[in-house]
Amino acid sequence: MSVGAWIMLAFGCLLLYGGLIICLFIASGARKYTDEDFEIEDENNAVE
Amino acid sequence: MGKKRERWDSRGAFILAAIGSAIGLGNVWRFPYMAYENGGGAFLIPYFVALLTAGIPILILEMALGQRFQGGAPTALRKANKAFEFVGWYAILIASIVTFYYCAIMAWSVNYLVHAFSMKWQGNEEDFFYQEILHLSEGPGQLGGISPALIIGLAVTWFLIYLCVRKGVQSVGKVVLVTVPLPFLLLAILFFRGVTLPGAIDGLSLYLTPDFSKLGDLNVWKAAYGQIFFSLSVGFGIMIAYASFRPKNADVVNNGFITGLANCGTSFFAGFAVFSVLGYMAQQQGVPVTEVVDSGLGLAFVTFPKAIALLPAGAVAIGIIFFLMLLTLGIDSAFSLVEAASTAFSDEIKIKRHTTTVILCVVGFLAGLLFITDGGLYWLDIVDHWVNDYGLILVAFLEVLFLGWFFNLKSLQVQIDEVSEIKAGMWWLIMIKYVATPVLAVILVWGVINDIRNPYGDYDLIWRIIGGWGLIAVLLIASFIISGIQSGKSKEEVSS
Repeated sequence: MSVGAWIMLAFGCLLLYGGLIICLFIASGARKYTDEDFEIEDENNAVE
Repeated sequence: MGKKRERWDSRGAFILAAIGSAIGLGNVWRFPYMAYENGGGAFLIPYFVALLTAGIPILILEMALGQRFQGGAPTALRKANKAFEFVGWYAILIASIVTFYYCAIMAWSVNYLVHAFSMKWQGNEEDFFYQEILHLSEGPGQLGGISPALIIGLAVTWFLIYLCVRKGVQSVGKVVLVTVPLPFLLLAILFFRGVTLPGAIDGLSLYLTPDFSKLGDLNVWKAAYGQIFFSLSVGFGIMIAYASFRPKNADVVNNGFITGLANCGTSFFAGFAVFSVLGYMAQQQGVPVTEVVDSGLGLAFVTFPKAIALLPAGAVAIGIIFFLMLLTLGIDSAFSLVEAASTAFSDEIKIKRHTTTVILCVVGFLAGLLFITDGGLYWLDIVDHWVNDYGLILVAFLEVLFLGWFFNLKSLQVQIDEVSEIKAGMWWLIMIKYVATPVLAVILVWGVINDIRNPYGDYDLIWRIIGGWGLIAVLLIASFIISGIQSGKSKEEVSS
């Protein structure tokens, strides 16, 4: 494979998988939702 | 009496379902060829630009809409503005049509999976697909009969879909724990088998070697944006429906990024599996890789079976893995389309979710019979071209146009920024209003002009009208009618 092909391989991996890993890392540290969140929502969205 | 809305078991279940919906057959059979044809590795640049400037912003828009208004596409769009409701119905009708023929492709995959145990296609791949499986007729006017094996395949497909969606997001949330990771595992096996084959490097070189001169070609940029729109499951109302089962204070933006990046990462990865096998096949046949490159149905049902038959060892196992992968890749996308329709109908028409699902599955099976007749492939080709290239793009265009320019999008941005781990900010507003809207308009107009100048396929005008222009026009009129009936009902309810 040409050098250009290897560079594009690294470029694609870095952007797509690197970006995904960062997003998953951010999500892993996120607040966990409790049942209370859902209950409040359900009350707000209850159809009369 | 209050009625509780269904909820996803967890954020993970929602993300997996969204990823499963976005990743489908197109990731394997469309993206690698698009990349090869549009500059090889250089295609990654416009592709990534399209993802960040239009794909992910529209994903976020649909997720935000569903989450804020807690309803399927028609409900959410009506709550945004009564005049927008028809766009929601149009999305649902388009999604339904796509499901009908998507399941026909899955019915073929079911048949191939059975034949993979005996490699029945070996030595005669093209005839096997077009004659033994499809019994292909002379044209769309000759529907002919329906092969019993395909009827069974279609019934199995719809039964599987029913099992997946029978309890709404509760069952979908559990099913995706298997159906999303499984095709990845199978794709990984194909990848490792592919890259260890002689000649694989030639295929990979063709896939990745950049031709930067192509970046100056507008067609390449159009192809990149088109690929992003088609592969992210936007414009079907799926993401709106899925997000409507999330609490209002849940993350939106990061979920959009995760879904978009996972989808595009899978496409990129699938390219390695596909091109390494093509490289091996070319070497075995003593021809350049460019002569064996294929895409779409031809790649999945002719070229790949041919390549599998040439494998030095484990051909049966790889054949089974390949068609099982197609099935598992397709099933999430198929049931997400049904789920989008089921959510819309049960939200609006107030029929029980289970009843709606059963009706949709039965109607889907019956409508899908057209696409497994002897002339079914022609109909699939015609309907797919018009529904995808015009119907879907029109829905996405109307969504971004109405919500970007005739709705207080800023209030939605403020709301999602309050609950999201990553802030959408001005980037999102600018992308929806000034990038996604004009790009979609250009793609739509460009497509129409191109189709008028060079009519699609070799089909007679009558078939292009019935299965193409006529179909998308009828669906648009139907969406106005349904939306009118629904708003009439709402007025009656208010006055009574």
